Amino acid sequence: MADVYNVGGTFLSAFNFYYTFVNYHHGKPSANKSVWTVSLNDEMALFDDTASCGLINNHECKRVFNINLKGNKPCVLGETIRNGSFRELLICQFEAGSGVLSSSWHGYPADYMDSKRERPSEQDIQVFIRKGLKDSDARKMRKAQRIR
Amino acid sequence: MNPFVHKLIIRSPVYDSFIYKRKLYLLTQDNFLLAIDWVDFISKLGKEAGNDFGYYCSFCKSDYLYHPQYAPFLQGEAIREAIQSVMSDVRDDEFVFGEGELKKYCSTDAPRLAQTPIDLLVYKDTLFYLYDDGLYARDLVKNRRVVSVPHFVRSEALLRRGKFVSLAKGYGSCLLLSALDDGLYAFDLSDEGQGRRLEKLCEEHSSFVGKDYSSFLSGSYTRRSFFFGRKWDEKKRVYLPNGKRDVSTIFHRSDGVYFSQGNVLYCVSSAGIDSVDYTQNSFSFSEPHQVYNRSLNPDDLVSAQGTVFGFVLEFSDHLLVLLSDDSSFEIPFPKGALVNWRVFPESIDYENHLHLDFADRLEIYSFNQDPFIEQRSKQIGSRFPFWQFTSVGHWDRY
Repeated sequence: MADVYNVGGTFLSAFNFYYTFVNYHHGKPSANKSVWTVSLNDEMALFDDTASCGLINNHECKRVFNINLKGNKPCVLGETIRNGSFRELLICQFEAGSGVLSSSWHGYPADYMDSKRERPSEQDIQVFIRKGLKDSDARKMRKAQRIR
Repeated sequence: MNPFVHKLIIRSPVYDSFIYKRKLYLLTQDNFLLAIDWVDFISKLGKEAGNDFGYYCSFCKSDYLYHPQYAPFLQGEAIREAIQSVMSDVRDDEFVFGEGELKKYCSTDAPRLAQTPIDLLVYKDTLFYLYDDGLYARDLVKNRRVVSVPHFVRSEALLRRGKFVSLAKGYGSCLLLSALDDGLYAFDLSDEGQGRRLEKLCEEHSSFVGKDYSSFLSGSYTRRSFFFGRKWDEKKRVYLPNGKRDVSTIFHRSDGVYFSQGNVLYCVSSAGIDSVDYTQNSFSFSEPHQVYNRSLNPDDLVSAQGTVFGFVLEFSDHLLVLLSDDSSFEIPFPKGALVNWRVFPESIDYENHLHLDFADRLEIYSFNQDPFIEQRSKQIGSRFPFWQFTSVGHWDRY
């Protein structure tokens, strides 16, 4: 199905939150930058799924994680070549915007193995487990180990 | 099948498990911490099988056959063969515990942790564990007579600071905490450390720590790994930095996954496993020496650890145990089925244990080939720490 969205645009999501497809996280990965490898439709679907869990309906919550499971295996959502090594990324992070994006959210694939800021909390991991993530993969996510 | 490898299965859902001072602790998937009287459990099995000695040495007292007093017996062929026969005559077994049944078997009221810990370790009768928001501790041994850690350690919340991803016992009385791109920290548990309890040891990325006496390997799954030397300063009575080295430059290769054991660093790569000896006083390293020459896939390696009985390498669908007698032992499982695994290289009685936690069972392996091997010539696995038998650390008594 063709994308109904475009990179750089801001759209109203199914749960009435504005979502911006930021340029920075689309295209080719570069040092210290992760990019989406899923379609824009899928990116918006992940944001809607996050909103449907009720996690971003909380005004105090400025950062939420999500995952896309096929069976109980995490799907690749993006990639990075951070620190010289290429890695596929299995989770994504949505953030409430600031500055010119203050009225909307944006998202990017998160590198839980590398960055303290991009690690999901135990609350996020419990949501992933309820969605079907295996305990073995949850352990690896907690300890920043590689999931295969 | 290796005749000196034995397995017990406890069929019950377990997230994590460890063994400490005669008790087997099971962290259930709903975060109850159950304690089974392990010696009692094994004694009953040994009596039923008519092989108390074999079961006791295999599962409760792994250092027994290393004792210097028994060395002359093990050197005599007839006695050695008789002991080997007893040690190999331990049958694999399985115990099924129904819902609630396991709790009945446990020796104390099961405490419940508030959430699943990121990592945990036991040190001086205290359970230390990591949550998102910091480091916690609680007494593991109830009514202990000797309080071996300061009072402040016994309060539950020790350090309100996240997010650490791994926890290891460090030099002196400190814990080492990896914090990914925030670097590596040391948390001082001593009374004297109360003023400067948390110290940042390095800025470099840290996913896990491998300790080598006072020095340590700060390993990274995503960036370069570093080895940090530390040396005891007699005048100041503290450990001071003694050097830092990018581990890839020690092994002359960049595609490896590293781990350490004793004073040896190891590099797992597509060429096998190389080792390097480290000398603390001069902060120097030997040239790499190959200890395992079959190809391994470091890209599929999740984690690795060294023990006295060999090396344990976790891949996505199997655990490969390279044993100290140069044989190997593979434990296959469906991809993603292994929830957790642990070895206990710093334990006294359970150094030969390997625990595998699955969604529906705990598998406890006991490896018993090592006491029959000449320790100085071992290529795989650390030497048995004979200082355990002396008060002053005479390694050469054996």
